[in-house]
Amino acid sequence: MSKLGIKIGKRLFHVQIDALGSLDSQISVQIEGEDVPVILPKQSEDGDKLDWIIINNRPYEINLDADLLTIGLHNRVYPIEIRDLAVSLTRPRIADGRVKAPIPGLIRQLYVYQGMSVEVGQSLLVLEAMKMENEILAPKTGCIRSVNVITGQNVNLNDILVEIE
Amino acid sequence: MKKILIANRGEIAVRIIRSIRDLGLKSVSIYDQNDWQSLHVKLSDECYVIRSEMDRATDVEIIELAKRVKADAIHPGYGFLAEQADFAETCADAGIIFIGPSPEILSLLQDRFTVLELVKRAGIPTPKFLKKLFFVNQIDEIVEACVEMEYPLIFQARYHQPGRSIWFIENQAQAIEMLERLQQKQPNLELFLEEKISPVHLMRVIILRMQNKDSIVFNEIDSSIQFRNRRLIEESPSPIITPKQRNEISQITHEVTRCLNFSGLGTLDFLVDTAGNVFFSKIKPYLPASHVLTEIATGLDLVAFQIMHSAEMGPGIRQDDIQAKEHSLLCRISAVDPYKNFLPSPGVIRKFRLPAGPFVRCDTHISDGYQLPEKYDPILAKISVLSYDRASLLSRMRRVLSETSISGITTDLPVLLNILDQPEFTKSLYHTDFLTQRFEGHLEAIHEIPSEDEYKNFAIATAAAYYYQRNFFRPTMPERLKSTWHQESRKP
Repeated sequence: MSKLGIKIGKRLFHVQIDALGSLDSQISVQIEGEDVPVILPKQSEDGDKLDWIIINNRPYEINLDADLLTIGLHNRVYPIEIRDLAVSLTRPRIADGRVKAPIPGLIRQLYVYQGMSVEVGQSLLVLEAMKMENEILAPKTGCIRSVNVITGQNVNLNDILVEIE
Repeated sequence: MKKILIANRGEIAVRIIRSIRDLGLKSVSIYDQNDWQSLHVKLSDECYVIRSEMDRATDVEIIELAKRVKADAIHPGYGFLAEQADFAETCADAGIIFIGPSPEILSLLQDRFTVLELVKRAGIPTPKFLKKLFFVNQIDEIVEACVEMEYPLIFQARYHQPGRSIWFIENQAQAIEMLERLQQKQPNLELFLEEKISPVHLMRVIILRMQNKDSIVFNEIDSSIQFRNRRLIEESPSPIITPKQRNEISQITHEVTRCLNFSGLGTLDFLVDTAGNVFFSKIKPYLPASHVLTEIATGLDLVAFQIMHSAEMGPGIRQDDIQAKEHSLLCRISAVDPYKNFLPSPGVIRKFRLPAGPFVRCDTHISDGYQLPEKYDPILAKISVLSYDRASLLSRMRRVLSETSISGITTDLPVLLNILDQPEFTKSLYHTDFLTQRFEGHLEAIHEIPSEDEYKNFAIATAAAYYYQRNFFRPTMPERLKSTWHQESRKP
């Protein structure tokens, strides 16, 4: 037995899912104390993502984003919050001031220098990838502790570009 | 003509290969080592890897390959290579047919400034532009000229180039900053100044002009739905164009091609201001990516016409034969993440299921397991639908986008669906700035609210997906160990 608090928009629901049912494709679910029939595909050994589900005789193709901030249902997105009491799940939207390369690419333009103060959402640099010029924005307000790249440099995924303190 | 080499990749190459095969001809594709899983490689009759030192295959490499594999013709795709007069000329020298207009026409069309001057002199309305060319390093002269032109305005590159050729400038500070940037990147850039008409609608018109000067002009395509220089949604006919304006656009299209002595398949760009005035903007010697709209509305294969035109065969139809009463709509799905400021999201596409059903066409180069290269643009598919009126057209596109299923990477499908619901879009009150006003700085604008009876189901779906992600449902014993065959084989 496991309990979750799920917030969709402004509404909060308590959902309880029974793990015993997981050997079958039908699982036992309770929401706000009410039993709901749910069918989902068996999870494979490599632990794939859930693609679709049948809830109360309604099919949904779904896509939970990796940061657990939205759920896509038939390609429309809804903001969510998940509270799992078994795991303390307080995910801040910004971890720290380290700005990593979200994709591999080429540094086209640098707008900041060490010691400069930046506002949240301010453009730090331009990273070119997939034939697009992508502005990388400051995740928080602060002072630039270091700039680890130069214009014209190729960067790999997750390379630290700029640090803000 | 028996065998055609396609000097392009991805969805464009797939589109061209299909016409080549429909005509009963052989196709030759090229690919680079990052891109061998693309559908254009799988669908061609022959495929060759080009291991180029350069970012793209060079002209010489392409022509050498065409000679070696005994291709009679080269299709340059639609884009940069398709307007290179030098390339067309080198093909001709090598005895290979270049599928497109003649090198003389290309060389004229490449020069956007001269085209604009010729067209204006013929009395055709164009946006105001300064009849003076500048090198990018003449910053003082340009800034002075900008004051004369008045902001906001547009820097137009004289010659179309890969990447960007047009820059919107709002004020003097921006002008100076942009010129300094451009100077570093492209020190030889030549540019001219054009007024920025805003708000504006962008229209495209395809024309097929035969050697005997007969021509066919197709209905306009409205390309006004743009975001950060990417066209997301296009439709034809345009909901804002009146029959009188349509007639005017068609007249101008005939006049421009006559004045430039154009022959072949081309695309004209028009701007329409809020007062309904029509201005000629550009002519390009190739098909727009949105030619699909014209094809589904008319039932004609325009790429086949282009190939036949280069083989000096007429299309066998006339303007009067063309009937396009139906409405068509196209959405481009891209691998970009709306939640991360529309950053591209490369990666492996785990599952890729395109929509189907009545009056749907999908153009893509992707299939399950495709590794999306970081090097190329993030387009995944073009989805087009056809219907008898605009309301049912939008309804059909909503259905089609919601049944598309792509996993493994993030796409902009939620954004497309959201646009289709906006009153500005449904009531056709949109122009080129509409999406910028809606989304720039308001990415939460794509959030939806469940209907009352679906809240609980959505909460359950979220819970199940969350547990799945935490491997809550993962079998404790691998499936294969449960099989008796497997157990039998393990017995000593």
